Amino acid sequence: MSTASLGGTLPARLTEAAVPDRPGLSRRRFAATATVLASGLTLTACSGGAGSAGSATSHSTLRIGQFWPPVSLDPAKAGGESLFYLNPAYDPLIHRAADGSLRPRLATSWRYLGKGNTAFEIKLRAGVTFSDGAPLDAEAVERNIAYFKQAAGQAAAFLAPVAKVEALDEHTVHLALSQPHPQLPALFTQDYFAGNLISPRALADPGGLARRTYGAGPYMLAPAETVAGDHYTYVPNPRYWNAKDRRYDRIVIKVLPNENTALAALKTGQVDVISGSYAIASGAARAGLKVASSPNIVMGIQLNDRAGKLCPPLRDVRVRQALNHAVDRQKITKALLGAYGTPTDQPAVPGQDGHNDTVFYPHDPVKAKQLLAAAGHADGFTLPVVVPSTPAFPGEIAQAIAADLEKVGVRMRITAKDPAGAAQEITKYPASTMGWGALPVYFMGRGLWLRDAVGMNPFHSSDPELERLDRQAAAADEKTRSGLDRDIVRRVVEQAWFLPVCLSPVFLFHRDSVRIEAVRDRPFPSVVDWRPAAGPGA
Amino acid sequence: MLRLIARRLLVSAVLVLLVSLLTFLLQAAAPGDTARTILGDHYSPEAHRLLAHRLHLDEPVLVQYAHWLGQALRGDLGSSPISGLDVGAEIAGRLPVTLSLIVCTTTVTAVLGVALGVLSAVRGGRIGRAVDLVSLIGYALPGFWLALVLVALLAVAVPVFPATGYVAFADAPAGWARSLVLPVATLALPGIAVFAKQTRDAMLEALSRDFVTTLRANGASRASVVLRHALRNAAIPVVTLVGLTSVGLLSGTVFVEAVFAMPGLGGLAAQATTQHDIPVIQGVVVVFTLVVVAVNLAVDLAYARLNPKVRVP
Amino acid sequence: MTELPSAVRRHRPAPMVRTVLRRPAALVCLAYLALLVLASLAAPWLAPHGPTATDLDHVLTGPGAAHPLGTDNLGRDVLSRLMYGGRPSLIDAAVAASTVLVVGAGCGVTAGFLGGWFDRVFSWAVDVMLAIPVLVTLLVVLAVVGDHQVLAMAVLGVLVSPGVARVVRGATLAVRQELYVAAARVSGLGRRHILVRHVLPRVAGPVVVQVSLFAGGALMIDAGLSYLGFGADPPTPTWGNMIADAAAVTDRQPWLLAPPGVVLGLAILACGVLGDAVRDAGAGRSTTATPPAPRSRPSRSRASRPRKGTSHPPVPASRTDSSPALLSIHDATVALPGPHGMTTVVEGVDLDIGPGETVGLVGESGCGKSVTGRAILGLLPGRGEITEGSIVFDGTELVGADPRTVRALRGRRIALVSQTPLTSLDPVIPVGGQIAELVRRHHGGTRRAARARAVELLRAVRVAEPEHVATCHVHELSGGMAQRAAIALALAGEPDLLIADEPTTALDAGVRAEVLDLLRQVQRERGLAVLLISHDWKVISRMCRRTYVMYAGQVVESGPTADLLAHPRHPYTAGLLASAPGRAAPREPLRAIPGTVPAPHEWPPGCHFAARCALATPACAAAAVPLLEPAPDRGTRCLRHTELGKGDDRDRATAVRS
Repeated sequence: MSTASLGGTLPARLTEAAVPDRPGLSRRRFAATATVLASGLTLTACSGGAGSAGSATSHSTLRIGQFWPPVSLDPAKAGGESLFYLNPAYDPLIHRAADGSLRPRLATSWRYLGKGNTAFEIKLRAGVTFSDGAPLDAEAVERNIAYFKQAAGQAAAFLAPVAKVEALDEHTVHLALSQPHPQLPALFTQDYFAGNLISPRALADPGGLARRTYGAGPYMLAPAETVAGDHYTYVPNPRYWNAKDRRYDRIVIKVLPNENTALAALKTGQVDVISGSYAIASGAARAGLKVASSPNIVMGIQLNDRAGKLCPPLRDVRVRQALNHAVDRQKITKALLGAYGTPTDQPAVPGQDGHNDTVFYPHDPVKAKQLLAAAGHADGFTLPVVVPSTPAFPGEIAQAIAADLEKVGVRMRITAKDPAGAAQEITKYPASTMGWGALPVYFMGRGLWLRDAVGMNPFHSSDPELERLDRQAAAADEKTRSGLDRDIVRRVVEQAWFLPVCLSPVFLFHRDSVRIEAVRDRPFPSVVDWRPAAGPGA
Repeated sequence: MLRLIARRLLVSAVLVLLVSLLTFLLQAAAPGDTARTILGDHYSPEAHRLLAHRLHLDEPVLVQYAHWLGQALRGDLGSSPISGLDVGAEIAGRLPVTLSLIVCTTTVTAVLGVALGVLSAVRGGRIGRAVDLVSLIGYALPGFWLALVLVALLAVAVPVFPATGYVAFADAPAGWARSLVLPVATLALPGIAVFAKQTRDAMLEALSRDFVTTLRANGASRASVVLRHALRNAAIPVVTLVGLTSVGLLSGTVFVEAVFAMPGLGGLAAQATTQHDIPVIQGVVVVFTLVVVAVNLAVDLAYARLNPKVRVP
Repeated sequence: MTELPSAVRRHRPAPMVRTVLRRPAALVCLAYLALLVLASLAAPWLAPHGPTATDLDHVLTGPGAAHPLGTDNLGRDVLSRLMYGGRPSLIDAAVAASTVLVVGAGCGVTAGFLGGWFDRVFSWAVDVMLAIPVLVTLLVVLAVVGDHQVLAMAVLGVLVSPGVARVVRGATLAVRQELYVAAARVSGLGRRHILVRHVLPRVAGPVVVQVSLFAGGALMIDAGLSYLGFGADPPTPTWGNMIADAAAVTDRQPWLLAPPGVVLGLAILACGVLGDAVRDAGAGRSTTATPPAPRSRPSRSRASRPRKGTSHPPVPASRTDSSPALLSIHDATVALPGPHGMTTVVEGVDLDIGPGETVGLVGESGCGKSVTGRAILGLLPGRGEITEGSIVFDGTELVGADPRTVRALRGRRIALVSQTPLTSLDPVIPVGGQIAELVRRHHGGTRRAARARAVELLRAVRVAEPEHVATCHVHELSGGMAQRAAIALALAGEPDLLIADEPTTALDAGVRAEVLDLLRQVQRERGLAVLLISHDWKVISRMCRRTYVMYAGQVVESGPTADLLAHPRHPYTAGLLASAPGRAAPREPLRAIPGTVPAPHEWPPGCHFAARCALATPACAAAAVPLLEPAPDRGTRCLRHTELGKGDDRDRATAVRS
């Protein structure tokens, strides 16, 4: 499953709206001062400088193959599949690096004011202009946040607590929050879009944002060399504030909706990097290509109808638990993902946010049957599930689950819809595909299990205990919060609202000519961090 | 002749109107609507009402259609509610790809098919049987399957040709040609066989006619009898086939563009279908219909040139 | 081109079903389709595994003992999925095909049968609908109605119906216009009766062809839509989504592409071949025989076969001393391919034409006159060949000669005017252009000069306004005018011998005389020798000094025309003369002679005419009758010609008839 295809893994519209696909970010406190961060940045630049200096002057093109085209190039409306398309053109306020650490970019520093995560301050870099010539200032940030909130895209839900944006001076912004929000720094990285500042001039006529880019990033889209849905060409932004850090003269992202042909294109050197799934991983490895994977997509089935409106048996927690016991996660994961997947029964990545070191639901068909019998469903029942028809993986995993459920008498009836259709009709089915990045628990709650979660809690199931734990965690400092996060995940798993099977990796396959310093279990670095490999062969 | 063209154009205009109206009505009959699609999760009755009003969705279907038509006549096909892009511009950007595919495939198919057909009509025997065999295989192979196999063989296993994509002719003529090899081969194979068969039958028929005997008996050269007389007489069914083939290719491109990831209209139609992007589909349908109309007109004109009897209206 | 098919025509056409079933290819196809239907119906009992039974320990195994066709990415048995997957695919194709059958064929038959305004509306609607892009429209429907494959296939059926309807309408129209339906209508039979008894059986063939061919296409489109994700939901297998599944893992297990692709491909193939078989069966039941594949080059090896061992010397010495013949045919035997293999259609023909002489060749249809003419030109149909004898033209042996030698003669020395002027000229090239082409071919020169010469030739054959006529296409000319043009064409190479094959048969009586006059005129003016092939005694007697009579492949009598008319020395000639001379229409049995000409494969070993002859004796049938010379310059193949020679013609005829 590629990063981009993830957008489709989730029924697309909902994904955009609710669930960013970037997995858990490092929860580092940003007590660090601007100077420290700035020096860190300088160090990075210097260490990378030796290798990249030469290639910066050489006329090099980075060619990327992506499974999905961007739903929109407007950062406020884009979905997970659009990330790599936005990276080159939009510098974020805060840069999430390959190792997960947060670095200054358009913001030189940021911090929460006081306790309880209800006030936030951002200091902006001076002397930055957008590609259309508009200057970056506090007012630009203010207008951006207003635009993101009203555009009702992916970031909007997470910006909801931001009640007031105030420009203290030309380069200082204060955010006043109506509710505690512990994840604003993560939100302002490239991963959640809200940090990808748009030129205020372009915001006057936002219709153009779908076709062109108006960011403060190192590149900008060349519309003349772009065919929407097919390929997107980026050329250097002449007004970029940090041109020495630009590694390529041109970036071309080509939409390659067939993985096998994408792999062929990579093998023959038509492209340098592609996203892809396990289906081509062994082929890529055999061909001597570099494989970067990060198992952080929670795959399985969401048992959305927890009140039993469409499928009465689901009302009983024992039934939902029985389904979880019925599935042989080890076997499915191995068959479908080989060594690249990690079986899991909880929506969290080991070693990160919210993960419990417990196996909640060992494979136990006997117990599953007992639970079903206890709930009065010894004869099983029929469970309709809607899955997206592309890509193949969600359908495959649903079919694998169906085979296991069959053995305890539960008949899963799968309906495959095109991704948009699957998203639109999610309320017509008691269950749907589950496929989202393991995010900070705060974000997952707002996308998945709080009563007012946007999108992926279609029946607005609610659990008072979860709501309570979430309120506590939102206002807590980092230390207290990690314990609360684990409690939240445990509660979700015990309620068996979901039927997770595995952590599926996102893959990048690339040629030697490109260096991508991906770190396992971390989201992939931004496209602007990819660089030509050192040496003449690059 | 002019009357023929005029009549054709009139019928075509009616046709385009009809097809676009049909699409429009279908769309109106569909469950859900564009506003709903755009709003997605941000659906609320109020937002829906406002958006529907902005998009004129709250007016009667025929009024909406008149609206669309008025804009379409001015060259504005609206914009996609999904991507926000201008449909006309989208189509204009992709039309060259599909036209390249269709024109190249038709040319390759017709030239090779006619050559094979003539050869097998004149030589018979082994070549005739080979043409039969190829035509059977070509007829039976599902295009998208063949495309997958060709990609697996010629682009993945032994990378001779690019597996995907399209290079604009203006950018690199050689690259353009290379990028078309596999898709054109996929699309052409069934057609070549059909052409060969049809040509052979028509040639055999033509060669068995009296005038061929007369001409040969009176000393016309073999080349002239075959290529000037028989082929010209056989050309009429073959030209019909050219028309049918190019029109049929419009369907073929939907699958082939999908497999080869070519930014053409077929791919756009398939993609728009999965996204329920009605304005885009509507635009594609209209453009496809126009292409069909143009092809049919060209075929009629070719008829008139080839068949003197048609020339008198 | 020859009247041979009369033999074939007498065959009663077998019912189509039986004709189709007699073809092995059609049988194999039917068997395969039946197998598919059976396998998909009986899948629950026959399939080794369930269609959705996963075995995650054995994924993508490839073919093996446990799974003959391997397993897919969830370890499901490919064979079983293929069997189950046939059901939706076949049902969808059946839905589409039945829609076409009902809508397309229904409308077509109705329009063709009713005619009138319905037909006009229909034709207009078809014109319009044919321009609708099918697949994209189908996608619109799918976008609107969602994944409703059966409905989509019905829509597909409607969308392709116009094309089918047009073909069926044409077939219906043809049947309706046929005499017997007209007659049936006159005799007051109900429309319904006509439709059911006469029209439907006859259009059933084209309908089956169309539907069968379309069923193949429907299978393909169904699979294609399924491949694009518009088909049955997983895990339900369809051939299309199996291909899609396979496509997703081509890198890991390319084999998976093969089973669904091959099964689908063969199914489409079977539909296509079946359609072809039905079409062939309907088109001409005679197509079981090799279709006449005209070969521009007579097989050299055969033609040049050494002629030693034949009992006849190539050039009989006796011929040369009488008068130096321009053309001398001796003992020529010709065989043509037919439904019974290579069949001798001309046997031991002797024929001489002197320079400037007009010689008649007379006989009923199917007796080998035209074939003899073609044999001279080396233009036998199909793989026909001269198996024995010799043809010497102006001292050159043509039998077994280099094809180039024969070709060099055509047009320049020997030319041909054939029966139906309207079909013997190329319909798509102006008349003048055709003549000019031959002028240039024979005499060279510029295009302009050739055109001028063509006009001159047209003027020479008494065409009014030759400049204008030169620019006309043949369909713009009258029959007489066209025949004049055809004669001009034949004269383009200034030949020495003109073979005129029934040159006036197709013309009106008035025009006929004019054309004959013209022929005589050019013959005189240019010193042309003419071989006039005809069945019309009037023409023969008017034109020819000498005449040969052919019957069933043989020259049965020859001699000076006047003498022959006065004193026939063969009962066949006598009968021929008796049956309303000049009025015997071709292809109608002679009233004066019972029976018909035997087909070449039915020729008896003895006298070919014996079966119809009142004078026949056992001796006649015993052995082949040689060409006898009853009088100087006369020849006959009748053992009893002496008896015929007595008395007068009328008695002869009566004798024959009794």
